[in-house]
This record gives sequence, structure tokens and C-alpha cells, in this order.
Amino acid sequence: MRNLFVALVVGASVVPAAFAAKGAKPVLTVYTYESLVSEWGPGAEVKSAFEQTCGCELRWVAAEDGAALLTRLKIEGAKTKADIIMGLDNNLMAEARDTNFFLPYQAKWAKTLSLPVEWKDTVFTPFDYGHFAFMMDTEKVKTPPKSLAEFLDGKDWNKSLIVQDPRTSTPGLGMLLWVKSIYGDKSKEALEKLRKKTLTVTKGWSEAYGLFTKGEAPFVLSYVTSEAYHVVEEKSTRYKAVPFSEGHYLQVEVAGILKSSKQQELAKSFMDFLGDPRVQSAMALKNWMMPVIGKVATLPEIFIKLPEPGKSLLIDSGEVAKNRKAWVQEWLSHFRN
Amino acid sequence: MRSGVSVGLGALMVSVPLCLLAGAIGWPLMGLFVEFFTTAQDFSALGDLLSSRWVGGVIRFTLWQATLSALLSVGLAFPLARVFAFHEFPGKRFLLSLSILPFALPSILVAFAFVIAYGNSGYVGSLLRHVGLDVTLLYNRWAIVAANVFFNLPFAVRLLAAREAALPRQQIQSSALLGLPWWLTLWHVELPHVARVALNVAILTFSLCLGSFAIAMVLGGAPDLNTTEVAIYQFVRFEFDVPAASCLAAVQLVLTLLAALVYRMSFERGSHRHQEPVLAGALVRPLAGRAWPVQAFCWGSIALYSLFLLLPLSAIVVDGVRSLMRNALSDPATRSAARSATTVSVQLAGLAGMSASVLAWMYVRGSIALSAGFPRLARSLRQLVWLSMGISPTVLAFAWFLVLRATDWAFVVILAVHVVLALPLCVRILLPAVEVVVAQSDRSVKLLGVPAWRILVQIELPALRTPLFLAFALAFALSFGEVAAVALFGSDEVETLPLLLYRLMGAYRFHDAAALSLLLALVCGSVFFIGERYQK
Repeated sequence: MRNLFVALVVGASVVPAAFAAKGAKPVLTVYTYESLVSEWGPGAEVKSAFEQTCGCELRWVAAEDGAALLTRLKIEGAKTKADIIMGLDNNLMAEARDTNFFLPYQAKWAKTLSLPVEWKDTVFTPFDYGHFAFMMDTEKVKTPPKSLAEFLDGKDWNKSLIVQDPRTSTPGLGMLLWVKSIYGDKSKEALEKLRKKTLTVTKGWSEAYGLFTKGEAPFVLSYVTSEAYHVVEEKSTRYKAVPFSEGHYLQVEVAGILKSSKQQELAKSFMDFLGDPRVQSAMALKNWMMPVIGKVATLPEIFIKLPEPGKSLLIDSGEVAKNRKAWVQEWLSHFRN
Repeated sequence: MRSGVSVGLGALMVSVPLCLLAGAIGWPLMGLFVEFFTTAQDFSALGDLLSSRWVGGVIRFTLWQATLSALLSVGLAFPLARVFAFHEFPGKRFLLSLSILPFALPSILVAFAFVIAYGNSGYVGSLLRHVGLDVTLLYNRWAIVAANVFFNLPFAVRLLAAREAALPRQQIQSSALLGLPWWLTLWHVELPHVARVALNVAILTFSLCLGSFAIAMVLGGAPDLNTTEVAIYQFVRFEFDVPAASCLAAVQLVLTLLAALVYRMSFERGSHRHQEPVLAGALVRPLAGRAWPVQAFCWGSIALYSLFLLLPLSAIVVDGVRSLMRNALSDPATRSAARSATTVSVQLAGLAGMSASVLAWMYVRGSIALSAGFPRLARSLRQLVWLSMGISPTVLAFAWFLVLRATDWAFVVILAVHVVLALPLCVRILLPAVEVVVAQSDRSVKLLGVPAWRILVQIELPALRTPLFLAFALAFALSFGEVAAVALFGSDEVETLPLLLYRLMGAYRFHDAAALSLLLALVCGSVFFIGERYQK
């Protein structure tokens, strides 16, 4: 059924495009990260749905990840071809805002925005969110820890977690901020204990999750929504997210319009389009993150059944930008052998 | 009148690769330099960075792992090279062909292969657990060294075996006539003959290990087991801290240069004249006919080497086949992506391989001709090529990005970066072979007065088929597996197989990724097998 829908959408967008004069259409260039536009990401669906209404061509340009996006923007500066940057997150937001490259804009649907926390930013528009969580292999874990404290203080689980490096990976930074937001000034001991529970530290999410699915460790740092992937795509309940009573750290992914853009009206209409149920369902089913407009009727049941994060933890973006270097250094001093 | 290749033609031949190298390295590094001085406001911060405990630790570890990997690779390669050089045994050519394969695999693939072979739930790990031994083999510093040796040992074996095969036969025979014990022959004849190449290979391995990075992060288990390359990556990609990244890149360059200098010093004083090699073909005998202690030692070494090489490689095959049986790579989007990525990868690596091997040949041949008129200049030129060993692909790609301020020309830039990376290796492979061929052709040609182009094209190049192919294969492999430059520049226009591998994993498609790894290994492997077959 979904395939039929996709075929119709694609067909509907291809046929008129074939008749339209080539080059007459304005082009909207959106910089984003790899996995969003890869063959399996939501990119293709978002593109075809948007092009149905905008009378334009949407061009994706991909960087490796959110952090690489920001770096790329800083290098290209005013010369950038991008009209929109899509895929920065709340941790990079303050730094991105400080570049002064972005045009403040509130999407028309901003009032219906539904996030676990109150959203105050006026420059960027959220398009999905997720909570960091430990994923567990139920073939190896019979009684999962109920809290981060239980995991860290327990006698079990030495060398059982695969985690990413906060210097090279967004989830890695998320783990560090998670510990910071729970333990605050006492994070020293917590990081020390976390070190003992860690099997290895990888460069990025892919390496970590790859090791995890090869059976190297019972836990990996990922997202609550990872569970949905295994249920929907693999019909498997072997891998589950572990709810922690302290709450889970939140990641909100955002898009922003560049001041240098020559297609500002088009860019604004794209931001308005991000709240469309089609976009939001693609984000859930292809990007494996939660939609930001509350319930999307077409989503599979598992998205409702995912473990409740309880409290959403979030450190203010400016605070993160200010302390990141020092915190990463602190992490590094504990994670030495 | 001197016939043959003139000094002028030599200069011309050297200048082509030299100019390209200067353009591909010099221009972007200049850009980096400018950026460094325009953005670095606080030089004391850089001093702090370099003297910080963390950077000190990273540099120490980088040196430790690179040195140990180099010593182990060469130390283990020496006995193996003797086995390969002096004995004929079934499967020898297969093993030698297979030996380049690790070089072509993206490091993430090798990391996963190691995990499947030696990890907690891998073959060896499960076996050990089965007999009651609960040990973690990976996730420590030794795992990093083992992975480095896996990459570099086969390469060292090939180069040393080639050198062993060129042992001066007369010396071996006279020492046999004198009734010297084998260990004295080894000490007085073989070791001096091999030493220069061995040190050379050690430095190559050392330089290659300086840049290893993804492996260290997956298998190391702890962030202090990181190399300077990860710190460079962090500053380039995450912090956009050009001064800090440039500083560390400079440190890495200095380390490589020091290594090259050690090499230079240890041989500069000794006789630099190339011994006229007499191919010791007559020394090669079937292994089956040797005395039993020799047989036992040789078969033992071959078995261990095969195991070391084949276990991780077969892990890729088993994992790939298992995934294919679970319908990996079955949907059309994945299939067409895999097809186009294969085309792009083969084109890119093929071009990089051809450019690098041809440029390296021009460089080597030109410098030999040049040495007739300017010996010191020619020698310095040969040292100069070491410089590009010390440049990290991450830094070079980033520097290109800085000067272009856009990712246009992606294919050309990636190609340039790959050629720069491969050129020193190709020069290293071609240098001894070209020296031999030139020495032989010079003698015969001087008498006949054959024009230079005919000497080069009709006499020398055909004689160099084998080393030229090896140079091509290594450059191909290096380009095929490289991912840092491709990830920075190529994501839109140049989607290579390793990049697609990352994309699949980024979309949770680990089964597809495993099947693609198999495809990657097969494509690369078949290029080598076809090439080796074609030579004979």
C-alpha cells in the first residue's frame, strides 16, 4: 500500500516535470546530512512531496553529519549555495546562531509544534526529535537496569556498553550531556564508573551500532526510536530500548534559512512544509526519529508503544556551546586507561 | 656521443610528476597556511595545546603503535619473505595475490572483520569460551597493532620477497663453497642485502600507521589509544579549529620526515652504488624436496600466515553470504546504488592507479637519467617524495576545501588526493626494479645507439610489467578503500563503495552493509587476480 502511495507521488511529480521547460524552475538548495538523503532516508519522499506544490526543484546537498554541516557552512560563508540548512541539532544551535548567517523565521505551523520541552528559539525550526537511550540485546540481558544509577553502581555490566566519542559523534556528545544533566557537579564519579562499564569507544554511531548487532556487547548508546526500526523493518523484538528513571537526554533536529539565500520566499514555504504530515511520517519511518506535530495517524503502533522517556533532559544550547570543550576534556581525562 | 636517455629528457620526465605533486599538495597547503595565520589569534593557546598532557599522550601512543607495527610487520615479514622467495609450493601465487587485498579494504571493514574473527562473539572468541576461557581479545592496544600488522605485513612480505629473490648468487655460492654455516651466510650476505629494503618498508609502514584512525577507534577500546589523526579529524570536522588542526598536521609531517631522515642517514654513508643483482632464480626449489626441519618451519610459517590473513577475510565472506541469504541487497534501490557505486569506485581507483604508477615511473626513470648529470639533485628528489607520505588525507582534503571554498570538482580533487597518497608507495616499488632494468638496458643499448623513446617504450617498460602492475594494484587498492577525502568532497557526485557502506550502516542496514562488504572485497580481489594472471 505504501509502495503504491510512493509510486503515485513519484509519478505525479515526474509527469508534470517532464512537460515543464527545463531550467525555468527556481532551485531550492538544502544542505543536510548523509543519512537523510541516502537511498533509504526520508529525502526522496520529502523532495517529491514538496515539488508537487512549490513549482520548484528541491536539491539536496549532503555533508557527513550535523557537525560537518556547520563546518561546511563556516568555510563557504556568504559564498554558500545553500538556501536552507537542515539537520543541525539543539547542541549545535547556539554556535550556528552566533555565525549570524541565519534568518529568523517562524514556520506557520509553529503553534502546533509538539515537543517534550518548551521551544523558545525564533531562528530555527525543529523537524524531528529523539531521546538518547541504551539499546539492549534481550538475548544477553534478562533483567535490565532501571536507571542509569543502577547501571553505573551495579556489580554487573562491566565492559558491556559501546559508546561513541563525544569529539567525533553527536550521540557521543549526547551521552556526555546526559551524564552532566543527571549528575551535574558529581559527574566526575559517574564518568569514572561509565568508563568501567564501557567496552569500547567508537568514532560514530554506525561503528557502535554495527558492533552491537554483531553481538559484541549487550548495550549500545542509541535512540529510543531504534527499537521501532527493528520492529517495523525486521519484525524483530530482540533489541529494545532501556527506560531509565532519571529521564532521557533529548535531541531536537532543526532547520534554518540562510540570510544569503536568493530564494527566501521559497525557503520559507519549505519551512512551512516541514510540519506536513507526509514529511513528519517520513521522518519517523525513514529517519527513525519522532515527529514534532504530535500524533501522526499513519504511523505504525510501535511508535506509540516505545518506552516513555519520563523526564526529558536538556541542557540549554548556549550553556553547551560555552562548556563543551571543557566537558569533553573532562570526559577524556576519565576515559583514559 | 652518449646514446640512451639524456639528462635533459630525465629532467623533463621528473618535472611532470613534480609539478603535479607541487600543485596537488603545495597549493592547498598554502591555503591552509594563509588560513592558519588569519585565524590564529592566540599562539599561546596552540603552545598549550601542543604541550597539553592529552596531546602528549596521543603523540606518544601514535609513535608507539606506529613503531611497534612497523617493527612487527618487517620482523615477521623477513622469515616469510624467505619462505616465499626460495620455495615453490602449492597455493603460493594465490597467497601472494591475496596479500594486497587487506590494503584495499576500508578500515571500517577490517575493523568489522576483526570483530567477526576475534571479537567476543566472533569465531576465536566463541571457541575460547567453548573451552572455558573467558578472555577479551580485542579492545586494547594490542588489537590496534594486530590490525595494523594485518594491513601492512602482506605488503612487507611482497617487497622483501622480491628483494630476497634478487640475492647475489655468486656470494651465496662462494659461501657455500667455503662451507660457512647458514647463519653466517644469513648474517654476512643476506642481511646486508635486505637491510636497506627492510628499513625502507619499516618507514613506509610507520608512516601509514601514523594516519590509521578508524581502526584504532573501534578496536582500541579507549580514547587515549587514539592517534593524532583522530585529533586532527576532531579539530577539522567538529570544532572548525584550523590553527589547532594545522598544528597537529605539522606534528605528523615532522614525525614522517624524521623517519625518512633516519633512513637517509643510515644509508648515506655506506656505499650507495647499486650492487649488480644476479637473480637467484636457481635457489628456488620445491618445498617438498627440502630437509624436514626446513619443511616443518616453512609449512608452519605458511599455515600461520594463511590463518592470520584468511581468518578476517573469510569473516567478510561468511558474514556477507549469510546476509545475502537473509535477502540483503534485495530491494532495487539498494541494488542500483551498489551498481553505480561499484562503477564509480572502479573508475576512480583505476584512474588513480594508472596515474600514480605512470607518474611514479616517470619520476623514478627521470631521476635515474638525471643522476648522470646531477647526482645530488637526483638523490634529493627521491627523498622529496617521502614528504607526501606524511600528509594526512583528512588534512589534504580539508585544505582543498579551504582553497576552493566549495566542493566543486569533487572527482578531480579526490583523484588528486589519492594519487598523492599512492605516489610514494609506487615510487618505492618501482625504484629497485627500474634501477635493474636501466642497468641492463644501458649496457646493451649504448652499443647500438637506439633512440631514447624506443629504449623506454620498447625495452624498459615491457621489462617492468610486474612491478608496474604491483604499483598500479597498490595505488588502486589505496584509492578503492580511502574514505576521508571521499566523505568530505564526494557525497553528492562521487558515491564510492566505502561511502555507500557508511550510508547503509547509517540507515541501520547492517545486513546490506555486510553483503556490500563482500561485493567490495570481490571487486577488488578480482582486479588483482585478473592482473596477476594477465602478467604471465
